[in-house]
Amino acid sequence: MQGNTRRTGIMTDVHRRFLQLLMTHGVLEECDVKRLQKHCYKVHDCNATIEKLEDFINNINSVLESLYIEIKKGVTEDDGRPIYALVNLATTSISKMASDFAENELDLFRKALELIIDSDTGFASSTNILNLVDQLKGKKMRKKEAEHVLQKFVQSKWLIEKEGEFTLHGRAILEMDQYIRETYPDAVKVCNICRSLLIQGQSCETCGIRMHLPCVAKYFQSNSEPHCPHCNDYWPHEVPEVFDPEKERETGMSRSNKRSLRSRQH
Amino acid sequence: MSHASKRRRCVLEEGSETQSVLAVVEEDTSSSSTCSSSFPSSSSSSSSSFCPLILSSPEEELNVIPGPLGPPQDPSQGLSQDPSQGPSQNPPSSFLSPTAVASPMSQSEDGSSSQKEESLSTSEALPNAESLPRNVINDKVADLVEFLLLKYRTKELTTKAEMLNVVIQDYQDHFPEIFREASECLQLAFGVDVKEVDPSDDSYVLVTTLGLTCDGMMSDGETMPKNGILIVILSMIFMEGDCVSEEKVWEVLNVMGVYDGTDHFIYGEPRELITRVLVQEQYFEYRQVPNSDPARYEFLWGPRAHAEICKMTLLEFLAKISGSDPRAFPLWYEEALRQQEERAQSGITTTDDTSAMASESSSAPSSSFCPE
Repeated sequence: MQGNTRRTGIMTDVHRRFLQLLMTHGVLEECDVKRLQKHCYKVHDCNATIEKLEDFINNINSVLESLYIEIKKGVTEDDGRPIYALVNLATTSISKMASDFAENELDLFRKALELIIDSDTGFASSTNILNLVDQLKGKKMRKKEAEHVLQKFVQSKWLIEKEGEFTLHGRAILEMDQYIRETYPDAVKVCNICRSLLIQGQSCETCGIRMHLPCVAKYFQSNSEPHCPHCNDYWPHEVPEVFDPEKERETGMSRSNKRSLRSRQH
Repeated sequence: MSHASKRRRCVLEEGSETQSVLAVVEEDTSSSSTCSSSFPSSSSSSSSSFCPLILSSPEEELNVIPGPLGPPQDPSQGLSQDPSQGPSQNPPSSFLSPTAVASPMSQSEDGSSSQKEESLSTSEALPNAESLPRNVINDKVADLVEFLLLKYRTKELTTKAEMLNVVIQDYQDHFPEIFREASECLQLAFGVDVKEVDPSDDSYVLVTTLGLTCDGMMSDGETMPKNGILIVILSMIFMEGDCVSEEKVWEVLNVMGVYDGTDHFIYGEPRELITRVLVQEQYFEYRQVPNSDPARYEFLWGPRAHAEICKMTLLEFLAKISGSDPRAFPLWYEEALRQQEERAQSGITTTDDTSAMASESSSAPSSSFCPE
C-alpha cells in the first residue's frame, strides 16, 4: 500500500467491538484506547497487525460520518493528556447525559455549566452551584441531594472537582463543544493557539488573550523568556511541561500524584 | 469535523469540496486519492458483491446518509481507497458507506450519477422511497440510530410506539424503511442487533452480536466485573440444565470470595447485582421455586443471555478449564449444537470468541476475565 492508501470504510468485528466498548466507557485516555484496540484485535483477529491508532480511528470515522457520529480526540485541559470519546455531532443539547440523569439533575448540570463558562477561572464553587438549587426545573432538590448529584457528575466524568470547585471534564468539552458555543456565544472563551473552546487556562494580564495549559506548554517549550504571542508582553505565569506519555510510564507516576497547575493564573 | 459542527444536519455548503472519490469499492483513482470518505462518483463503479445494505439512491454528496458517504472530509484525513480491494475480498467485513456507495452505482447501473454539484435533487429518490426526500430519511435514520444506541447503553427495552413518538414523528408512514436502515447501520457499524422481544407490543431490545467477553481492562466501569460473575452463574445454569438454585449459586460464589450481604471490592453488593441489576438487564431470570415453602429461589438464563451468549463458546471455555473437550460433555454439547442451529436458522451471526474466553486463565473466575 502506498502512502495514503488505505482500505477505508471497512468495518470488521474488531472495529465494532472497539466502538461498543468505547461507548460503554464514555471517554478514555489514549493509553487505554490503545489497550482497548489491542484487546479487540486479540478477540477477533489475533493474527492481523494492529493498525496504527490514528488510521484505525480515521477508518471508523469515515464509516460513521454519515450518521453524524465520530470518535473525537481531545486533550485534557489541566495536563495535556490525549483523550477520546464517541461524539454525536448533530446534537445541540446535552442529550448524551439525558439517559442517565433526571430532569432536575440535568438542570443542575446546566446551571453549573453556565457558572463555569461565565467564571474567569473556569471553575465554579460548590457553594455557588448549590445556591441555585431552588431554580431547578423538575422535582425539588435539596442541597444535600445536589451535592450527591454533583459527585455523580464527577464519577461519570462530566465534571472535575478540585478543592471544592467544579470545572468541566475533558469529556464534557469534547461532547458538548457545539452545544456550548451555541448556547453561550458571548461568554465562551477560546484559546489563542488552537482556537478551540477554553475552560481552564492562562491569560495575558495585558491584552487578555487566553491559552490552554498544554498549548502554553507546547508554545513556550524551551523558551526561557516567554512572551505573549499577541501583545508581546512578558508572560507572567509558570509554563507547564509538555505531556510525555513515555516519561509518565517510566516513572510510574499516577495522575493524582502529578502536580497539575491550577488555572488560577489570571 | 468542522463540517458537521457548522450546522446541524445541513451540509449543503460542504458540497463544494466534493470530489468524486469513493472509499474502497471504487477502483477508480482518478479523483484525488487523498480525499476521504467522499461521494459516489461518476467514475466506474464496481458493483458491489454485497447487496445494497443500506437503501441507496444515487445520491449526492449532501445527503449524509447511512448509505452514501457523507460530505467529504478535508483531504488531510488522508484516507484513500485501495483500488485493488473490492468488497469481495473482504468477506468477513462489511462496508457501511462504501457498499451503499456502490449501490447507488448499481442503482444507476452505470455510475452515471455524477453528482458533483451540490444541488439537492429530490428527483433522485428511488421508486421505493415513496417520494420522501433522501436527506430527510437520512436524518431520521441518524436520529433513530442515536436513539437506539442510547437504549443499548442503558440496556433498556424500547417499543415501536416510543420510536415513532420520539424519533420518527411526522414520518410515521416511513417507519419500516427508516427502522430497517437504522437496524442495518447498527449491525454494520456497531455489531448491535435490534431484536424483537415481544411481537404483541412491538418491543425490542438492543443486544450485541459480538459475543460476551470482558473489555480487556481493569477499569472502574461496570462491564468487566459484571461479566465475571455473570459467566460463572450462566455456566452453572447451563450445567444444571436450565435453572440452578440460589443456594448453589451462593456456594460457588463463596468459593470465589463473594458473600451475600458483604460488599465485594469489585462486584459491590452481590445480592443486589445478581438478583436485581443483572435481572433488570435481562441476563437472568430470578424466580421463586414453584410451591416452595419457605420460599426458595432459582436462577435461569434471561432473554439477553440467550441472545448474546453462545453456548458453544461457553462450553469450550468450561471444557478448557477442566482440561478436556466439549464433546466430553455430550448433553451440554448437544444443547450447544442445538442453539447454534437455531441461530443459524434465524440468521443471527455470532462471532466465535472462543479465543477470548478460552484464553483467559482458568484460575479464579473473577480474575480470569481479564486477559491482561
